[in-house]
Amino acid sequence: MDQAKNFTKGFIRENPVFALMLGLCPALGTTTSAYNGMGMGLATMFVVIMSNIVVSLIKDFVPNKVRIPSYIVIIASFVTMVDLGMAGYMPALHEQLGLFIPLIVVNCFVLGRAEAFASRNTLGSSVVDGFGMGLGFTLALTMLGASREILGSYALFGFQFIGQDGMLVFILAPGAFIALGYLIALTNKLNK
Amino acid sequence: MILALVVITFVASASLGFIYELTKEPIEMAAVAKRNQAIGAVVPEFDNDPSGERYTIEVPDGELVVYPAMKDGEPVGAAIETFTNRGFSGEIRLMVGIRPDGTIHGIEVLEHRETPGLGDKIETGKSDFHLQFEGENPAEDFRVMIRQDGGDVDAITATTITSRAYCDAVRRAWNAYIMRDVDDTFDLPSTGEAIDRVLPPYGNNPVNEQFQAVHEGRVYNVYPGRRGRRFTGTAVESYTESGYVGAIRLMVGFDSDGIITGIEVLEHNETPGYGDLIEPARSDFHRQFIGMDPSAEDLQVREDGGVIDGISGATVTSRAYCEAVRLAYEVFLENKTPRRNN
Repeated sequence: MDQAKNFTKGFIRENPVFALMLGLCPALGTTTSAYNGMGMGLATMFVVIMSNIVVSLIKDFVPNKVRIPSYIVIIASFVTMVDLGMAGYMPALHEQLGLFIPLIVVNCFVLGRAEAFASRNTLGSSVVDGFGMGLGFTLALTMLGASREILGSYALFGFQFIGQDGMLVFILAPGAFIALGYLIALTNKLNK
Repeated sequence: MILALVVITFVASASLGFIYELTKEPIEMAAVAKRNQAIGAVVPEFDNDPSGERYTIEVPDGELVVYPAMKDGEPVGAAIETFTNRGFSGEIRLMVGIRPDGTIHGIEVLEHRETPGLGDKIETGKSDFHLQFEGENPAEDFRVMIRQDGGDVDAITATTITSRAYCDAVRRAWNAYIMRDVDDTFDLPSTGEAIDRVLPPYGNNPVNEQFQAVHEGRVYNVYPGRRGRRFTGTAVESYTESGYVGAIRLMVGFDSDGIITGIEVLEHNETPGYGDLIEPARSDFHRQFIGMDPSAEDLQVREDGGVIDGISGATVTSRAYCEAVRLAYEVFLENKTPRRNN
């Protein structure tokens, strides 16, 4: 397989959030600001790369019947590592993302990559896939977070450019759906 | 198959154990650093080690941690780690600094899950909300409640619940601090004692015949009193969360006609000198209710159009007390016919 294509497929064509519609729960929940979206994206990227590596390494060793439980254990372990590491070294970000970090475990996007890609491909392609898809997820969450922050708080990455309160709806849950809808429409347009 | 699972789970738990050991210290350090920073921000300058000298105060629904601040051996105030469960989404934890005379020196938010862009304005630096409290003394005409509830605090726009919860946490801390050396606490009666005091003469053991009644989705304990086979009265354990500081729990006794025969306070966290006057040992407030028939009289404070004289300076507490009594009466009516626990 063409590795360059393998790497870039997650950006737009198979973007986990905008095209595959996977992992929408954290994508909607954490993206109240660009910084939070990026933090969540990077945490998920780490997990997806690591779980892809391990799943690809053990794919011949794990019997077919128990592969899903095995993948879940592997993913859960990496998520817990991210959770602990973040709590220790980035307490401020950890506080913001709080509840959503453990939820990476049930993010169908991570399990989806393990099941659909890493368990069928070589270590090399799995790393590239995890990296590309992880970047695509981070990109999606950062864009979603940025558009909500720009409209909802008139700010980007915490820098306020209009000194007044923004359009509140974009900070709240409905705004997440509205912004997501427009970004999906944009992705579809680009994919045409 | 089993071997594969065993190997995977073993490796996973071993590596997690390793990471846990590795991050244990930084996580604790981060928590301590955050707490120390919050303490430093809310109390006047000190030269002792408040974290090392901390102690806890038990309050009805949890405990508060007090970090005393001293300078040259003299107390300059205390930082109190307080909480509320009335937030819009979950618990809010605050560090409230109080000077020795009861003046609020500063407040920092330790933990919350309020809505970003709205409720998170309680954080220092995101709005001036917390500045309203600084330099104010709740003992001198500063009512720590939002204006909608009759207090002196301007709520954050569109964030009434969070603002209300914030005030609740501050009141909790202030009450605990003011009460810390006060040693005039009367022991509140136990359930058995309270039943004995509020019920008309009875010959049975009401605690043995206790049953639970559901009223408007909440569960109340009901203790029927009998003499022989004749039903003499009922004690209802009633409660409300609308006290000035958290919950108030009462034992209300009724005779067989529904006339109130006695009221005891089982639990409360109201302000010393004001709200705590609901305790029978402290004032005659409760006597107004005895002999009343709740179906004939409007058991509300006069401000609300009722017949009860509220405790002055403690309208919220008086109102909550009346509410608990009315609830008890409703429970009594619904469970008039005595029944036994199967």
